[in-house]
Amino acid sequence: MNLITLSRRIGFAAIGSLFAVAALAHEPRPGPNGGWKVDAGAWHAELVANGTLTVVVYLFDGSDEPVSANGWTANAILLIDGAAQRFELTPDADGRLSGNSAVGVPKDVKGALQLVAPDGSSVQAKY
Amino acid sequence: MRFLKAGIIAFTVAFGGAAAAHEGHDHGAPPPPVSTTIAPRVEAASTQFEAVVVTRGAEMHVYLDSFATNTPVNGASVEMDTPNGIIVGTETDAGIYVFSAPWVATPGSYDLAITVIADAGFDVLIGTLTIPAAPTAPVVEATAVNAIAASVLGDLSARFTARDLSLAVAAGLGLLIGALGVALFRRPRKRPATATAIVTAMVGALFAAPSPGYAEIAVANAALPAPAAATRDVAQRFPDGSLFVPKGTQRVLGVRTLVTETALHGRRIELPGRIIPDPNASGYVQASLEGRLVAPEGGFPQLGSSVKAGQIVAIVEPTIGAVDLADRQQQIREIEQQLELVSRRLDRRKQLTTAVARTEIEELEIEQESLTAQRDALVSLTDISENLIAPVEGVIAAGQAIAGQIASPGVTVYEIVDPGKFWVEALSYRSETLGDAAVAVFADGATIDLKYQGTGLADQGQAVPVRFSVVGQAEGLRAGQLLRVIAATPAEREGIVVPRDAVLRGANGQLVVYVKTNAERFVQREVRVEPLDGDNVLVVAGLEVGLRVVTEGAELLNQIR
Repeated sequence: MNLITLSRRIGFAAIGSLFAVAALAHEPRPGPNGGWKVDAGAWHAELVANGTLTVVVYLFDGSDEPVSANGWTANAILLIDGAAQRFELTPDADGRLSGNSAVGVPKDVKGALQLVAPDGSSVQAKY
Repeated sequence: MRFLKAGIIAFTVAFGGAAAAHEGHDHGAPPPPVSTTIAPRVEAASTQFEAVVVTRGAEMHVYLDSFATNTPVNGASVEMDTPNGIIVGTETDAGIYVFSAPWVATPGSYDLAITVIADAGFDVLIGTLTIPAAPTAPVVEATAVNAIAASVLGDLSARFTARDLSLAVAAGLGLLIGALGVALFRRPRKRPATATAIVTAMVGALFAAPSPGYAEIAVANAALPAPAAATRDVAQRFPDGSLFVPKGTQRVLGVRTLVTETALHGRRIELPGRIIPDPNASGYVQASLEGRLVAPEGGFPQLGSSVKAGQIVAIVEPTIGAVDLADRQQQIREIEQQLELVSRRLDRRKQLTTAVARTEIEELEIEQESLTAQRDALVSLTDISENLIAPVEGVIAAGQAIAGQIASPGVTVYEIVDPGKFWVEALSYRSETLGDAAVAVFADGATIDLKYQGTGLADQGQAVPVRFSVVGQAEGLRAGQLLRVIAATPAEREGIVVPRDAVLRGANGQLVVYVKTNAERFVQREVRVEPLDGDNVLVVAGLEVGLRVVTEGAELLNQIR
């Protein structure tokens, strides 16, 4: 392979990688716990809110098997009444991530989760 | 011929060295332009917004647009949750939010959550910005530059690096000799000996003392560093025909989109047509007898001037041939002769009233009156003129009357048209039932609304004429203008409505539209369209529901190479 072909391939790969992230679709779908489940990297995350201050997140692996949230942390950015509410989510005794918002969180809240896995890698989920 | 030879010599000498350098290298097809100068970027989208984050030095620029229409989102409050904290953007230009983030210069992967609170709504967009490792970028850049240089110029760079002066000297000499050769052959052959001597002397001088200055300049040019890998985002077309168009370019081109949706529409057909005057508001001025035109009081009305119904626009004075005139004068003489005889007889009878019967006198009196009337009629016949009268109110649309011109019966002297009332006559090649409403589209894209009036039943060149009246005031129309009529039929058709401007003619002649697949990516889709109305067409094949079709700026996107 000559150098031109190589440089061309590197160029295409570089440009292609720029679009790779956006190509992932995060279509929300109903989860088993009554919340909305979306893709978060290789995992799936279901956000359950019911109008109270507490928000619970269930984690699943790529084949929708429940995953314990031990060792995970998350940062929630939820848009409630036109304002961004940011709060931490931490693992609870039931192997879920939970946290408390300053205001009540409706069920169909818009927002994003920034999740940090036990190995330190981070993923995001959009609701 | 001599010039040609000289040219070939010059060319061969000048490029001989370079050609030799190509040997042993496989070029293949010329490489497509590959941009490695695109700044690191990430795009994030929701159903409402679309954001592209582009790194610019120690800043991140966020281009925020409406997802569906690609309209910049102004006046929004934009915050970004980054691994290094929350930063707030400042809107520097319409829909461009700038974030100060010195850490983006460090290679790595950064999860970004962009919180948008705008009038149109609020949302959180997420994306991962990957800054490539610093050392690799210059290596790729250098490799590409070297590879192209090496392939194009062979071992030139090696020679330059080794400061091999012979190369530059050879190239310089070749050019000079070539140029001189051309000059020599072009000169008039007045002093060939002198010219040859000059050339010989100069070539000799060059060989004797090769100027180090040439070589130094050449080496200096070659040694200039490749332009720094400036992060200049340039729109480009990929080999598969898709386009990469940075947001900044999209803003300049004014690219707008719409999300496709399917709906039922009345099926339309397109007919060729032309403007005709309203039959009830136009008229012809024609003479009924042959004669010379004479200007009426105030002169002949000229093209474009208004006339009132009943206004005299020209006078025809009948022309009488010489034979006719002689005949008529002979008749008059004969009648005058008879009249004289009758008059004298009557006078004599009146003097003998006692001896002549009363009835005889009365008969003569009647004969005298009759002859007088005949004579008057013949005399006045030479003076009959016809007033040509405007049949309708309007404007002189055609025709030219000149004093003295001979008008013949049936020939149009003037055509009068009401400029506010026009009809359209279209030709229908299929017998279709047409609905009431129709639209006429002119070559420049302007449209007028039409109302169906009727269809002829007699074929006219294998087509039937269909007539429409123009709805409302028709400004700027003229009879004979060609146009397309889009007429409704009672049938319905399902399809996707896109503006007429969205549909382009592809390089292979097919109709295409541009579909926005990603924030900065566009692909061509072949489509089949049917007429809908003056501004829109109906795509019946080639598009699905939920795509973003470029409605404005498509023609400009098509120019990107």
